[in-house]
This record gives sequence, C-alpha cells and structure tokens, in this order.
Amino acid sequence: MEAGTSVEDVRFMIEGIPASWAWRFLKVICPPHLYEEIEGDLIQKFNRDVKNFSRASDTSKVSDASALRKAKRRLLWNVIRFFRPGIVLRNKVSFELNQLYMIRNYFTIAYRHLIKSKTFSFINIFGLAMGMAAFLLIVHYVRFERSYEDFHKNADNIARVTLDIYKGPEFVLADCGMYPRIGPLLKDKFPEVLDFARLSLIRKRVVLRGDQKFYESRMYFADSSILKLFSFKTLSGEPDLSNPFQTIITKSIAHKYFGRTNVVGESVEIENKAFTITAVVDDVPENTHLKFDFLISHSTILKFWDDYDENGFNGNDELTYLLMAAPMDMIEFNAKLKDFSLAIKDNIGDDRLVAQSMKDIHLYSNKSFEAEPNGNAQSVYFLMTIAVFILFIAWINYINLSTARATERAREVGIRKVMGSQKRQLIFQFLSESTIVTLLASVLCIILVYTSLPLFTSLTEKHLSMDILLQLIFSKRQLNLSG
Amino acid sequence: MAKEYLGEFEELVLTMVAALQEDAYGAAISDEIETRLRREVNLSAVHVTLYRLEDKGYVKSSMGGGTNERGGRRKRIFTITSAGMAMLRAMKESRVELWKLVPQLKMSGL
Repeated sequence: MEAGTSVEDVRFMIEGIPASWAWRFLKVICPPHLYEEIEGDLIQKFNRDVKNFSRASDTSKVSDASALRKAKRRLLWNVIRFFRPGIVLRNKVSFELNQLYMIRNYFTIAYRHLIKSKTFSFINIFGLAMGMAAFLLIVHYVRFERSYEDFHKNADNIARVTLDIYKGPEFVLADCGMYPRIGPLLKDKFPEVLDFARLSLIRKRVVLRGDQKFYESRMYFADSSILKLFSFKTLSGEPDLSNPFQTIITKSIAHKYFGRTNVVGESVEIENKAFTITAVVDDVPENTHLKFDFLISHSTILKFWDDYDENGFNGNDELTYLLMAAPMDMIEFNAKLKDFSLAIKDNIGDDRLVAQSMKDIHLYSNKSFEAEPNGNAQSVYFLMTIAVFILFIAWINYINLSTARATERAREVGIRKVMGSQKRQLIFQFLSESTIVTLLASVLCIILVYTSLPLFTSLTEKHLSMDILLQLIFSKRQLNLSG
Repeated sequence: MAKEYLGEFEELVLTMVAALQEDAYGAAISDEIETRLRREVNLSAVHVTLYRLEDKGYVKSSMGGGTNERGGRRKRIFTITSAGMAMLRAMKESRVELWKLVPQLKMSGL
C-alpha cells in the first residue's frame, strides 16, 4: 500500500470491514440532506491525513501501513464526533407532531365518508350493533343459567341424594324426595360424606305477626347443618337451627312482617306456634334451585307430627344434600350407593339411591318432585351456538358491506399515494375508520342491550339485571335479585 | 442570539467563509484554521457552526462539484450574505474600538 493510493483503493478500504459500521452509523445520525457533504469531507480529510502521515513517515522511516492505520483512527474519531446535538437534532424531529395532525385528518375523512352515504353507514353500524347486542343478551342468559349455585362456597362438594324408584327390574321414576334416615346413615357409613342437610318443604301455611297475615309457601324445615353446607349472607343475628321452633328468615320477609331487618329474637306465629327468629339473611338470589323465605329448624317436625319418625323409612319427601370431602366422581360414588342400596333392601325395596352433584341440578336434572322446575342444558348449548352464529353473521355482513364500498375509495387511495403517503399510513387510515365504525356500533349496542333488558327479562322469565352483566364481567360474585 | 453577538468560534468560521470565497466548505475551512492558527479544530464542530450560521442567515449554501479526493461526493459551498458581511464589519469595529482602549495594543494606522 503506497502513499499515493487511488480513490478506488481508498474507497475499498473505507468500505472494508473496520470502517463500514462507521458509515452506517453516520448515515443514521445525519440529516439526509447533509449526509453527502459530511461524508465527502471525511473522506477528503482521510486522504489528506494518509498523505501527511506518509510524508512524515518518509523522514522518520515509519511504514505506510501505520500511516494508514493512524488516518483510519482519525477518521473513526471524526465520525464519532459527529454524534452531537447540532447534527442529530437537525433530523426531522417534528415527525411526531405530524402524526397527530394526520390522525385528525383521518377522523375528518372518516366522518365525511360516513355522512356521504348515511343509509349505508347506518345499516353497517346498526347491523353490527344488533349482532353484538343479540350476542351479549344471549351470552348473558347463558352465563346466568350456568352460574346456578355458584355463590355457595362449597358448591363443588355438595351432592344431592335422590331415589330411583323401581318396580321389580323396571324403572318407574326418579324421585328427589329422600327418606329422612338416609342422611345420617350415609354420613355414618361413608367416610367421604362429611355432613348432610335435609330440607323438607312445608306446604302453604299462614304466617302471622301482629296484624300481618300471609300465606307462605316457600318454607322448609332444615337441619342446622345446612349452614355448614350452604353459604348464606347474614344481615343480622347468628343463624341457629339447633333447637325446635327456631327460624331464619330472609330480608324481604323481615320487611314484609316487621318493616325492618333487626328482628332477631322476635317471633312469628305459624299454626298457632311461635317461632323465634335467630337470624335474617339476604334474599335468595335467582340463580339457585333452592329458593326459600323461611328456614325452620328440622327438630320442630317432631312437635308438629307425633308420628314423624326421623330415623325411619316411612315416607320420602325430604331433599337431602351431602357435603363431600372433595369433589367426588359421581359415577364412582353412585356405584357405592348402588351397593349400599342393596344392603338396605329391607328398607327401601328395589329402589336405588342415586347422587348428583348440586351444580348439575339446574341444567341436567329432570326428576320428579324437584325443588323448582329446572332448566335445560341442551337449550343452553343451542343458545350459545346461535349466539356465536349471530355474531359471526354480523361480522361477515360488516366485511361484505365494507368490501362492496372499497372500490369507491380507490381513487382516494391513488391520490394519497401520489401525494406521498406510505403504505403504513394508508393501512392505519382505513383501520382507524373501521375502528370508529366499530366503536359507534359498540356504543349503540350497549344502549340497545340496556333498553331491551326489561323486554328480555319478560321473555326469559328470569330477572337479569344490568349489574349482573357488569358483575359477570368483573367477578363471579353473588347475584342480586334486582332490576 | 442577540444582534451584535456571535460566538468566538462562529466569528472565526464566518471570517473564514468570507476569506475563502469559492472554496468555503467544511473540510477546507477546517484545514485553513489548522494551518493558519495552528489550532486543532474538529470537522464536526466546523460543520455544526456552518449550519448554525446558515440558520441565522449570515451565510447561504449551495452544492458544489465533487472531486476524486472526496470519493466523488459533492461539497457544500458556503457564501457569506450581506447580513453576514455587515455582522463581520460590526464585530471588527467593536473589537478595534475596545482594543484602542488598551495602551499595549496601540496599533498604528487604525
């Protein structure tokens, strides 16, 4: 490498490995309109340096290679020195601000387009909103149906024992009413049964308090263990059903008879007998199959009917719930129950005990003498499918309509491209237009859902309130009977 | 920046632009300063100063020809504007006025 190196050689060396990153670095930090002259100056300096250092080396016998190295070092240093505010800030920093104005332009254009074909836009937005609203309402309902018994803390561990009645080998019907003796028996014989609770429906009776006199039909005799199985929200008092003639009432009952809820210790009269109120609990929500107004201590039954045999097999009409140690596999447990049923053949004849998980009751149980008419899992599945389809159709409809109009925008896109629009910007523009339409549709959808909720409630005959919708979104809490 | 106030380096570069006339571009100015004043100046400092002067309107620039030495890249030639010339004149006068006050710097014929 002689001192008088040609331009090509110099260039080659510059674009060689050590310095190439330097030029790329320079290109990044320099404003584009200044890059060429800066690069040229640096190259010129480099060449002069090579000449100067070589000349010096001639007199001091230093090799040309070292001159080159020194010049290169100088060059790199010079390049680095160009990384300074005076250079870097000369780049178009105002690019950010530009973006904001562009977005404003997009909104203006989007608005103008929507206004230009009002009918079309309306169909588009309304179609989307309707689809979303229908979907929301159906999903609302489905989630509600699926949320039965969710608020009980032990819901997963509770099972109900029912009786399958056989005449010989022939199945007659499934009866939800159970013999009263079964509860305690199962607790004894099966270690996985931790506790049991029996509820016995009290047919319509008159309840009296002062001059308030009403027929009540949602009353049950209940074991005190029911408080361990089910989770009730106590408003006042300490729930206690251990002694005869004790009762727990709900909030609405308290208001109905007393006008207030702090009525612990007071009493109501049923069948000429006084019952002491031990606690007032919150009203039973809509999403449970066991709805009651009064819970009366089970031990009171004996006081009513002398011939009630708590430990016998006289009649089966008590709902019996079991608290299991862990969520049981019902098939496994039912196999055990089948054997157990054979063991007590003398008492129950050909009938068999069958258990089901409490959470399955509302959607899957269709036995006789249920606590209340149940829902249908199949309908729920169908509804869900329909909801998804509706949404799908709404999407496709929107895409269809938008695509049909796409060609109208072709000219606009062409002009924008000529004006120097980047592909990225065009994409962003049309995406933002879609976003605006979707947002408008969402707002409309929420309005539609809110206003049609009363109509929907009467259709489904279940009380679905707006706050249920919100609660379902945010948490799986106890649903209140309101709206 | 106030009207009659130019930084020391800016004044230097502006003077060189006026002096070099057609050859006033970054690398040349930098070399001239180094040879004449024996003062190490970095190329990037000169460039930045030139751009600042252009922002202030004391110089204007245009692209010139490329040479082999520069690997074919064109140079940006700076020329002083009338505003810049007026600035130089003003600065020269104010300097001289002040130096006249210093007895050791008494110049003859000024």
